[in-house]
Amino acid sequence: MATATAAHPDAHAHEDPQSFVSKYIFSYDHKVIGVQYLITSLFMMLIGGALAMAIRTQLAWPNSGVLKADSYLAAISMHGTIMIFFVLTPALIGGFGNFLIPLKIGARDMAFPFINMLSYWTYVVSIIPLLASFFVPGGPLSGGWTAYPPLSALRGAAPGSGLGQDLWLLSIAIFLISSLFGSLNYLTTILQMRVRGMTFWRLPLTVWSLFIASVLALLSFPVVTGGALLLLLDRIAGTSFYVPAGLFLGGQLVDHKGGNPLLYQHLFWFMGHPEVYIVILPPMGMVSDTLANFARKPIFGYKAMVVSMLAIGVLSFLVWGHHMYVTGMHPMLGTAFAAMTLAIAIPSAVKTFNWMATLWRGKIYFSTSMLFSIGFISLFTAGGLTGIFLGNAALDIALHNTYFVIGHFHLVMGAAALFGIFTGVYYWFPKMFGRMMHEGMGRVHFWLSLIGLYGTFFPMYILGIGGMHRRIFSFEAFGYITRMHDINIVITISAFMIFIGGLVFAYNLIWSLTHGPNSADNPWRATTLEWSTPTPPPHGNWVGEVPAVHRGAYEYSVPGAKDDYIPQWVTPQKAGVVTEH
Amino acid sequence: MSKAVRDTRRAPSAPPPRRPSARDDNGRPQRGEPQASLTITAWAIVGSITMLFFGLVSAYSGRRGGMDWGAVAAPPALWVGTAAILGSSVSLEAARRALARGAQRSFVAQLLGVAALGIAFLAAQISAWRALADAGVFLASSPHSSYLYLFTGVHGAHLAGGLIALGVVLSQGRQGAYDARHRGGVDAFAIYWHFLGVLWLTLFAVLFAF
Ligand code: HEM
Ligand SMILES: [Cu+2]
Repeated sequence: MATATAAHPDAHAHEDPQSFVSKYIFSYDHKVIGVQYLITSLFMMLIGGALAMAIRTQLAWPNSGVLKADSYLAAISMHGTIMIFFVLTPALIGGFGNFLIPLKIGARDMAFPFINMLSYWTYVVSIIPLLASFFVPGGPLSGGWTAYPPLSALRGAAPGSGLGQDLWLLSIAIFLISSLFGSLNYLTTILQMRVRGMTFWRLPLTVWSLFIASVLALLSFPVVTGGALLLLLDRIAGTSFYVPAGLFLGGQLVDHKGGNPLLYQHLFWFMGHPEVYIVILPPMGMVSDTLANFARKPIFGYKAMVVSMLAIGVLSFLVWGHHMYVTGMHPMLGTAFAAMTLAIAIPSAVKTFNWMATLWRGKIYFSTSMLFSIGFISLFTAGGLTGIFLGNAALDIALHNTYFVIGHFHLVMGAAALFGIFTGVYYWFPKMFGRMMHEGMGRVHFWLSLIGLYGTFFPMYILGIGGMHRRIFSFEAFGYITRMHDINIVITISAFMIFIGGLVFAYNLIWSLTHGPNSADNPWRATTLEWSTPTPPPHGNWVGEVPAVHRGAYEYSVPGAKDDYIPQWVTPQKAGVVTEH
Repeated sequence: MSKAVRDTRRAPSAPPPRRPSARDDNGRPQRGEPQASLTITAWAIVGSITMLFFGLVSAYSGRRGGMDWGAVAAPPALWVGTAAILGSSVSLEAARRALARGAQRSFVAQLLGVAALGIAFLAAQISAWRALADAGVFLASSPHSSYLYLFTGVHGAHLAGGLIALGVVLSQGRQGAYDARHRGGVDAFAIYWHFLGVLWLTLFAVLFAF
């Protein structure tokens, strides 16, 4: 830290790496780190997705023997943990955050490149105990990705409550440290390293979204870290933060007294709800940028977009109680949480309408990236609208812990965030590797994903209303669910479509890396700064001086201009037209 | 990282000034300078730790009224620790004044004082723990004792981290890396350290005054 102080102000512009190791492994370069994050989280996506396929096979054909009761619970717990903490968060914040922030604000690197490298490698280290837990006696944690006590607090409570749960806690703790490093860097970099002319109101929405997401991570992750620490003490030191008195385990009275398991839920969801915005804000920002580009129109209501993201950020800290309506909370408190939750619908709707207004009468170019962006709006809406149902305490009491909830959050957060990642990969792949991706395979990937996701998660609403609860490994004991067997088969077949789509995507990535046509510096004719660099950008990002910024990020189809876009780095004289931003 | 790349655009005959000022004419850190980046990061860390303790203290206050609370009296050593941490903040301010005056030697001496008092604080906390243990009060004895150990432990861990940062600042300071205009590292450390002092006073009050 202090090294940077003592040196030259350009101290962040470290030397060109020489060896393979310093170039591609322990690299300080934000672009390499971003790509490392992306590749690692895509690998984790493969594991999380394979688990999902096992889960779905079990649910469609309960007697197929893919999973047993115990291993089913372990599979869903690991699937949830992996998807949220080890796929979406690192891909979006670590991957795109790293790759895009310096390029888009005109910085040569992050404020603290060393901490940045550390952040990636702590993420890698955090994966090890998580995956190791598959191979320990008792298997991985099986109390769900939320790891509620007392299941998670007492060693004998479930097969995975022993070593598996310990490893989970260790892994999450390391992961939280890694993301703390990341957030500190993004925040400082955006505040400090913007190039001349890059005011806050000229920042592309991607950067705004990553900025707000970093603040959310910085302020919400420590709370769950505290919660996890209490859990650890209950497990190893015999304290009673969570474990209540009078609990019997296997016929034995447990030696704890007076703890409150609900305390954990408060601490967990105080992080848990902001976390869903940490993973959905960056896709919102990226999709805003791609929609404007492929519609050749300025984003509709730029400032409203920023303000609504800020509002979402603030509100996300005030709604955690909507995950706890069935815990017997005071009805007044439930009403307050419901009101706050429904209030989030307002900025979310502002954003959705602004995206649609951006598309309105645009000269739309349906690239694969654009298809995923439009798909994002669709999935986000289809999932978000049922959030209004679940936000109402009265309805949630009936729907809580049913497949209605699974359908809701998979569409609004899982599927939408995945589409955000795909949008981003198809759009920035040329900048990352200097080659274009295969559009034909992209389309196959898109349609398999879109149809598959709707076919998987929309029928889950029906299952949920029909009373199928989550976290059961076989519905055969429940006559009323057995009658919905066909729906479960449809869902599973659709889920396999998503997975096959993912394999097409993986193949496309590999094919394009080696065979993709070479990309120009600015293949999408885009306005933001990353497209002013050579493709792929060299170490230090710009050859020579970093271009100053003269305008906002969305100057598409400016009346009177000779091109249908004016990049941010073009001076007013060169542009030939005077614009207000 | 300390070996910065020379800007190749500058003519080789005119090397960049060795340490260009990181502050504007009003003495404020300029945007884009690592100096100011460090203080921003320090504030962000402060925000993050505040949230950690916000969560823990909320948990505490929810449990506080319980029948089985099992209140513990404050071990006297905690008062000694409190005095030490307050003294360390005074010493740190003296160090920063000295730096502003250009009194490098007194700057380093005062920083050594901060380090000594910080270590004294940790020693006092540990002896408070030992006093508790001698009296038969352990982590799992009662809710109050659990939180007492928890708060002192987590705070102490952050203070130990601060001591490591102080070690870096000290070694840089002894090489004359700081002066009135180049003090980002010192400022950032001061934000963190004073925060830990305020945090300790808050926790002390929460644990025993209410
Ligand atoms: C490939 C598509 C996916 C399929 C087919 C799928 C399927 C499922 C199913 C069937 C469950 C419910 C298991 C049960 O309650 O018994 C589930 C749980 C879950 N999924 Fe997915 N999922 C997919 C992708 C994702 C993604 C992208 C995310 C990221 C947000 C995600 C996060 C979760 C979480 C957090 C749970 C809850 C786990 C728990 O109950 O502890 N899933 N998934
Ligand atoms: Cu929520």
